[in-house]
Amino acid sequence: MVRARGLGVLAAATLLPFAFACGGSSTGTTASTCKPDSVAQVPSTTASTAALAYTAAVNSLQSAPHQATGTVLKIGFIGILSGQYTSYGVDEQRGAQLALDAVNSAGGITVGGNTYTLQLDSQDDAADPTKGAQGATKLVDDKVVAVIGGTFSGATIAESKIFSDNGITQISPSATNPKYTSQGFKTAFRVVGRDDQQGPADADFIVKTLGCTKVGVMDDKSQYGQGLADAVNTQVPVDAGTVVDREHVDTNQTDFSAQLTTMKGKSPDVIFYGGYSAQFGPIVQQARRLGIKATFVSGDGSQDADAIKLAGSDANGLFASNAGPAPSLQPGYADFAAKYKAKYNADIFQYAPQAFDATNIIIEAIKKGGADKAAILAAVTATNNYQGVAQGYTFTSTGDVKVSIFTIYKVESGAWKAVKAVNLNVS
Amino acid sequence: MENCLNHLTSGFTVDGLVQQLINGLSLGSIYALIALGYSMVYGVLELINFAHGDVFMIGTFAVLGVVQRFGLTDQTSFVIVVPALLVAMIAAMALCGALGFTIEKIAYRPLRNAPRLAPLISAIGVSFLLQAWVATYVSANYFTLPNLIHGEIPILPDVSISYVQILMFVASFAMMFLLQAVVRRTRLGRGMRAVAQDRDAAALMGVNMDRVVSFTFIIGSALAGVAAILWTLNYSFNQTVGAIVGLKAFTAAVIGGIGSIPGAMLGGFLLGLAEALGAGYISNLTCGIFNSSYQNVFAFAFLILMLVFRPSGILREHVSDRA
Repeated sequence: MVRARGLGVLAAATLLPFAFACGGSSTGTTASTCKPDSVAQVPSTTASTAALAYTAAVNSLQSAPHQATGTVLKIGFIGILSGQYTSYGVDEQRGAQLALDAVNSAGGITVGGNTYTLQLDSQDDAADPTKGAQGATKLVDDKVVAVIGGTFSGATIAESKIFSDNGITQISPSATNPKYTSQGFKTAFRVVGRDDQQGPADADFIVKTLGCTKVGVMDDKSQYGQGLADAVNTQVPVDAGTVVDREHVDTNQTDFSAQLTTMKGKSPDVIFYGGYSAQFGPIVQQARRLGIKATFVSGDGSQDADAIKLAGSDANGLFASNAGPAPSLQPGYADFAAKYKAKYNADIFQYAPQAFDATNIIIEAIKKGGADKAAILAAVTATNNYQGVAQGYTFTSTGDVKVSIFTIYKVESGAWKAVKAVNLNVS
Repeated sequence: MENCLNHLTSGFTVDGLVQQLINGLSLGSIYALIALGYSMVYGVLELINFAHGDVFMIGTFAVLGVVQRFGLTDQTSFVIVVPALLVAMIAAMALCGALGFTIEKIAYRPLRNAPRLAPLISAIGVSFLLQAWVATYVSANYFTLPNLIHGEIPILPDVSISYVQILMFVASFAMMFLLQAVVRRTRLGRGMRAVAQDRDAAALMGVNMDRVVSFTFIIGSALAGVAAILWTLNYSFNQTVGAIVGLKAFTAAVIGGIGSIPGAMLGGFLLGLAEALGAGYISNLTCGIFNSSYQNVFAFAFLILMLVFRPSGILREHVSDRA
């Protein structure tokens, strides 16, 4: 029942003009087809058709704070609010808060004769399953009607059991591990694609788009990192590539020379890393010092500013995929980013649009069915083509999104630039 | 079986082996420098200073602070990098030394006559305190330094030894000889050896115990500061780096014979080599059943074997034994 591999992939759209004919210098690799330097940038304004689709939610963010009255309804937020990945969690929390602000400044939600003001109840899971379970229990005790979160997969999976037991709808803006929605919980939803879609998309990119067939695969043994690397490992041979080496590191490891030296001996054209930027950046730096010239590709855990900072001058030319459309292809991104900046005086870090959309899906559900948690669950389950800031959302029977969009980014002059978009429809 | 033979030779090259040896020795020289601190304190006080790894961690952040203050990048010329790194080294040594001195004064001295478990628990408390302080008030992120020291010497067609790695060997050996000289030839060193042999008798002979202990902590911690700058030149770090690296260095000290200065060095190099070769070739040697994620297992398996078969370590100095 749980689809491990049989995802009905209907469409895989490539949005870039590839110039493969002798573009760029082949960096010492022997395979003549492997030319990672020749991948150009995704066109920046192809989103005009969808531009009018994003909802009034963004427009209603106009901060006209009149004091809302009525019953206070608690919406839960759980995510990483401490530790080294705080930026991810705080970003999502801000996204959720902006959605609530929009409702509250418009006078709250009136449904079935009651007017509700929404309040965000935030709990920190520190990316840790144990803390996640504690935070989730606290949210249940606080009688929240629905939850946005968590941030990373490991903690989110631990939390999902508690929310499921209590019939509370949970929408994660960023957990990509397949297990989260494969446990048979009716309350678990996510607004991004899964790693068993992302991994194959990465493998396709490496073998088909970059034309590199000798692939080395590394991961950090985390639930997310290993899951993603396994998916790449499976798909590379399907695409007629070869996995020449498979290495593992620890999430707290800082010296990678042993693994990288073994990797070097197998001379891969591309090294895929499943894990987070805290390791990805230093791995790249140490690999270059060891004289490894292979192109590095990673997943959504590494596509952030930290990876560039940690890799330093070796960052240029890195690739990483991420869940969700590129900012330039998100219909409501520009408006949302402006509102975000106005309130927090900061730029969007990563998943704030998805958190904003997830919160609005819950708000729409409350508007339809009232503030009862069972009614919210029914209404969220029935979500049909809700147009958010990042994309349109329809949930499958497992709580995944029907259209998963992945974007592959490349570091150019010290910044991530989108180079390829992959749209996957799950039938 | 055929598959297993394939595994045995898969990806094995002489270049790779030499590279792994270099990796292991450079990592080992840092373990050795930190192990010296564990060993000295144990020699004098019979205390395992579990906060020592975190003193090293504070040193890495001191180096980061100096490098950022000087605004060093990959392109910065040697003329600026070398003095800046000297400043960073002095800053790290001074900060670590002062920290070691303070920790001893606040957390261990009042417990000197308490049961032996008390200072150990106090040490773990200090370790947590330093980590939490950095995570809260400095940063919980990982950091790397830019490639400050460029260049390498080729030894084989595809293997070279970088200047940073050479610096690691040279610095750790220089520090060891310096330390040996201090312990063997100076008045202070004589005091250290005296306190190690018999505290009470040393006190009766007029050795100022508190002064000797303070200096032991200052010197050991300053060596951790040297280790910190070498670490930052090649590896990444955050507030937990001291916990892991410190534990490995402690293992190295035990392997070499805790209390012994050459033992700490030997233990450090052996451990570095065991880790690098273990992680590099475990897959080959076990037909792919185990993989490189068992790197940490080697360090601690080594420790267990050592404790079972030669609990006093390879070069335990019997002088400092107090039966």
